[in-house]
Amino acid sequence: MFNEYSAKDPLRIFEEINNIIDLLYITQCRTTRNALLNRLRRLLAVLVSAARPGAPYGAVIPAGNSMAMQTPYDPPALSGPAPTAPMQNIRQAMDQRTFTAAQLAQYNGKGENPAYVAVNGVVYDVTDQPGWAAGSHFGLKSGLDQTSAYISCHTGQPMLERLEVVGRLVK
Amino acid sequence: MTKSEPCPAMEQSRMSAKELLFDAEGKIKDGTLQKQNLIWLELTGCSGNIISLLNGADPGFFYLLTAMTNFLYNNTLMSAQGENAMELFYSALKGDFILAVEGAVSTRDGGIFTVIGQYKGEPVTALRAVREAGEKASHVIAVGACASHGGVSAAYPNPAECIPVKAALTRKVINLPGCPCHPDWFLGTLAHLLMYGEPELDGMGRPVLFYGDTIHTHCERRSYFDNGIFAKKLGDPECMFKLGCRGPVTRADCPVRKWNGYVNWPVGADATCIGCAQFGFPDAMEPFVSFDTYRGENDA
Repeated sequence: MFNEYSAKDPLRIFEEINNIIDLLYITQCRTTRNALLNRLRRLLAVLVSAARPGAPYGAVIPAGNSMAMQTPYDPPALSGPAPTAPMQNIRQAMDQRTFTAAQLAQYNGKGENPAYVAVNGVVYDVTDQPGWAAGSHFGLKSGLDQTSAYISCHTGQPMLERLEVVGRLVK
Repeated sequence: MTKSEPCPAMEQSRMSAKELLFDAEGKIKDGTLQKQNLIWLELTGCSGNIISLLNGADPGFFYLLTAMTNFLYNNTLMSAQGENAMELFYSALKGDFILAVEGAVSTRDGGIFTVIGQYKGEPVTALRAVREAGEKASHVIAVGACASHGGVSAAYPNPAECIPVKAALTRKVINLPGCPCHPDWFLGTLAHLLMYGEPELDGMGRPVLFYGDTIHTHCERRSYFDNGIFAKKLGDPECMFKLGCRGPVTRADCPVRKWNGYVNWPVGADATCIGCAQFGFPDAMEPFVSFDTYRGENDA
């Protein structure tokens, strides 16, 4: 289940395109390859529509931006150059809400609590993610910092972009 | 296409193993294809995969036994016993053969926790048998969860230190995970090997033909998931995502192929998919069912 980015989010589109290209280098499965190629085509269609003369967000798409090289587990930096609009939204979400490890532990997908996990200091909502049925995923539980598990299994894959950022993890 | 007609794509997928098998039978009959020897080793497991294979239908086990292969050895089904059985095993190793392995490989204390027989006064451990046969076979097929990735035999705390077949050998292994393996997955893979060689495999060594999509992709309750309508208890007709269904992370064609003579499958019988065909089962797929799941404000 992919997020449908709008043309307002060109940086996230570039980021995912870059990750898909990485994945295409290593995948041997024809079905996966075809799914990735289809996804590439859809992302390009969004960019093409944005680049057309008169398109409302056409001018926003930067050429050769540095975000294209960002890895999916590398969260947006909290300091540095001024962010563009979509990144600003993520930063706002991260700044608005913070979680200690103890607070994060409550969000285990049980009872009244949605399922959150932290990766590289960013807290994501996985409640409705298909792979996180009932708040667990391949034996991993929500409510925890899963950075090392993420890096060992999903490096180079466009996973985190699909998730809603709900805050950041603090000590 | 009317409602009573099956989806052609689904029907094509369901018929994939049968077509391979009938093609192989035709080629063997007209002499353009030779039968090959087959050895089926049962190691550290529960016999579930050979029982599943016996449950195969149209064509089934008898077809495998008589029309497709020279079935030389199986430690569960063969009539020979004791040293005589092991004599048959070692004589079979002298020729060309395809090796199917069911069960994991116990390695603790030199593998002595699983002994499949005695040969010349020495115990033949699972570890020894799979290495002796595995390095000589033309192809090795790991049948079922335990052989493919350790499965139940290697579940925590893994007292016999079981490992998958691939980890015990230094060669390529075709993995057919599933607890048990569907008869079609094995028979279809075998027919492909006989006619065309190795089928296309994914990064985990599974044939894309049978493991190309997730359970979730073709699940009959998928529209409920897409609309956010979830079952609250087993027996409800909606998507069992909130009950902990592992269909979204499990690659297999169960929704299309179904089980027990193509009659039904777990979700069709109101049970969650427990991910038995996914690597890491059972530990990584637990809990199999959850009831106290967060449902959000609109679905409490």
